[in-house]
Amino acid sequence: MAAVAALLLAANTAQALEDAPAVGYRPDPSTIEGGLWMAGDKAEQAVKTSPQLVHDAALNAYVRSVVCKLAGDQCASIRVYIVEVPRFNAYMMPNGAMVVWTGLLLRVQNEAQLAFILGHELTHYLHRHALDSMRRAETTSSLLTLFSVAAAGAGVGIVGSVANLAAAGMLFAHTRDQERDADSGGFDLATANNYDPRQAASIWQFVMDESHANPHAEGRDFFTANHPTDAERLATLTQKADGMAAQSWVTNEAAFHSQTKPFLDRWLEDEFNRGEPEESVAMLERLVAANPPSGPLSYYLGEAYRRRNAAGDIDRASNAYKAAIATSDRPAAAYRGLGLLAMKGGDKQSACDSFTQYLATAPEADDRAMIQYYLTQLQG
Amino acid sequence: MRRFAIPTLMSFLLLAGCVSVTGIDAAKPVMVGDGITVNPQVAWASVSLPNVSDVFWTIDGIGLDELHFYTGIAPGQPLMKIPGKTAAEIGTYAATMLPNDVMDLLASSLEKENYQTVHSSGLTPVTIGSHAAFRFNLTFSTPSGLEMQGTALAIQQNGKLDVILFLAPREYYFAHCQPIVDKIFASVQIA
Amino acid sequence: MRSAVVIMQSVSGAARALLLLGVLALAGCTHTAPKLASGDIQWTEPTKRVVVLDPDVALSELTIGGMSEPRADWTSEARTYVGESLHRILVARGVDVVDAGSLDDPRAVQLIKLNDAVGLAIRMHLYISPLKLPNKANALDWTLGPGANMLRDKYGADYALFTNIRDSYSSGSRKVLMLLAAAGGVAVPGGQQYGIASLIDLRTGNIVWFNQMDSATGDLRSETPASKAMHSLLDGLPL
Repeated sequence: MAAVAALLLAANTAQALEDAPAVGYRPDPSTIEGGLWMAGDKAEQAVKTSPQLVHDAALNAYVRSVVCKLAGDQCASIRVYIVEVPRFNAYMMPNGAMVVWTGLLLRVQNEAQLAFILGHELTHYLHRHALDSMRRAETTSSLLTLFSVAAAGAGVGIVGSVANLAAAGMLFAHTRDQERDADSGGFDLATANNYDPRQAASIWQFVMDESHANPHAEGRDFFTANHPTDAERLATLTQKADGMAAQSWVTNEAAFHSQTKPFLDRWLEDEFNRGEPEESVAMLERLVAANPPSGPLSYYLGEAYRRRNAAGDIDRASNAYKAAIATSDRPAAAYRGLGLLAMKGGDKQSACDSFTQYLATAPEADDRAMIQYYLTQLQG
Repeated sequence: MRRFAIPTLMSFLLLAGCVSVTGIDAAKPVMVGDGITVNPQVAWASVSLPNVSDVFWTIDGIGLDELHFYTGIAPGQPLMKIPGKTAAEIGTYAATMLPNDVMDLLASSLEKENYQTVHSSGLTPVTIGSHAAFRFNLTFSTPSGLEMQGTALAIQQNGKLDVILFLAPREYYFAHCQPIVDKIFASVQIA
Repeated sequence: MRSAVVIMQSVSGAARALLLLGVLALAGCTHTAPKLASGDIQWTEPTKRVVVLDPDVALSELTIGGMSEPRADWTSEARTYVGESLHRILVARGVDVVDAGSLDDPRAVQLIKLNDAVGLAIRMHLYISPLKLPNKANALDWTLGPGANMLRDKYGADYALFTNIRDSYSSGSRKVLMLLAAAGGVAVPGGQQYGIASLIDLRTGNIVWFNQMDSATGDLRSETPASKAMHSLLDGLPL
């Protein structure tokens, strides 16, 4: 652990203007740093009491374990909160509270990618970037906004409301140089823990791809809003990865998937309810392509096509549902998907077969009464 | 520090001028659109916001218990208007939609209105006279984190969609009003 | 379904105050409009205990362009004076005051958010004539529901006091503009102080008293004006 810290400091002394806060450190309330921590405390309180806070013990323990691997001795200074928002974002408060949105957990492909992002956030904290900005008065207005948002109490919805975050002007915004430093620091923390360096660049590749899929500019990523351009990041991180000697790197893909799988239903319902079918399709196409065959992922890809309902989507959805059914962990809902497509397409027999299969596989399904009703209609 | 008054009266009159409130009598059936009448059960206030073509009933006021009527929604139309968003951005009704799709459309429409973490459940067929209709439930929260619940009754008739949607805070208001709302749904008559 | 409450929540605090105030504030005047529900104040214990929720205070600066910028330092100062004044006023009336402090319990947090929503409904439907609800008989008849009992159990208090205060002060450049405009006979909007307060019976959750206050003067960052403002805010408090 100490080696990690030494590596970090050695690699980043040019950018690290402050030593990391000691574990258990609390700044004097009358100082600028004290004010910043107070704002962080209030923002953290809002997160703790938010309806969107994810309480699941196992998931929290898992994400925290990744943070602690990276943070080493500093783990005791960090609180990690998972918030149910279907967008790609994570942020760090000046007082050691870290927030990760479920949309990010849905989009990263493995534990290594998660580690690079969490390492990036940790670096903001360890290098005291917020304090640095405040002292240099480079981002005064956004920090004052931060204060006000935090000072005004929990009622502003800063926790997960995308619109409110935009209005608050990028809560806890950092400068471009700080973001570059955080990329670099995060890279070092993660690779010091054997995470595959090529995964760092992969993240920005997919972020770029997904944002290009959105025809409306509105779907901007908050995580990247003030960051160096995706292209620059991609180049920098690729170069850094190329510079690393080959060794047995890990991605811990299996562990990551088994930890997040129980939440896919809920998080994907959140994703679909955003009503951005192009982005949902792009995301799921990527996840299906990047992972070994997965019943749930293929099913959700089918759902994404079915809901988008563009030209050719009926066939695409049908193929995806069938691919799901061909796996050993097929969700029952894949049969429902086929049934809905068939019913709308006028293929009564096929619809009947699919719905019957669905009800047989999931007799406790939440919408069984409606599916039973469809069957009655089809058979009548 | 000497300061001048802000003409607040002007600002709120502007708002008030766009809103009108009328009484709904408990005893008289009311026609709510597209040939649908309901029995109000209790006295309500009907609030109309003309700039978004929205009419809803309330007992305790905006944000506390709201009974919305989206009637005669034709294919290609969204369930409601949202300032600053096109119909395509909100999502529109299609005559080929099944009840599952209608439930999904309402859920995503609520998110377009800036409600958070909308989840739907309990999709169930119901019969109204000779018409096939369906019910479903919702949970979500407001942007400031107040947890809410909703319940909807929907009917697809003559190629159009009718939805009656009740929304209220989870704390006290939803459970308190639900028996009344259930009776209203049961009282629906379609001409 | 563009619920007004969702519109309200997406505009800034100062703009909401503008939209929601039901009285015209004249220069130098403070207006209050307390409302009382029917029924008497009743205590279950000889110690008349009231739990005071943390005052929701936010002060901002009005810039020359009319923008409102939040000021944490001003807010902090004001909150101290506001809290102290509320305490003094209640204690002077023989009330045993307990501070709620910071709340972690999710249900308690929902009750506070519900109180905000109820407050918004009261401000719209009781104070603004065109928005009055025919079925509400123009009376203070709102509740948080019996869930409020949990606050009674937690603090041993029969009543809870909620307060919400917003104020804005002109920046130096704006003041100059205002003075010039005044010389030329044109009014330029200055800052506006606005507050609401409610007293909740924690046995029923009923709002037994509600007040809306607005003022064109009074600097909450000093003790005396803050105290004066709190006296106005608690106008008609039945304790």
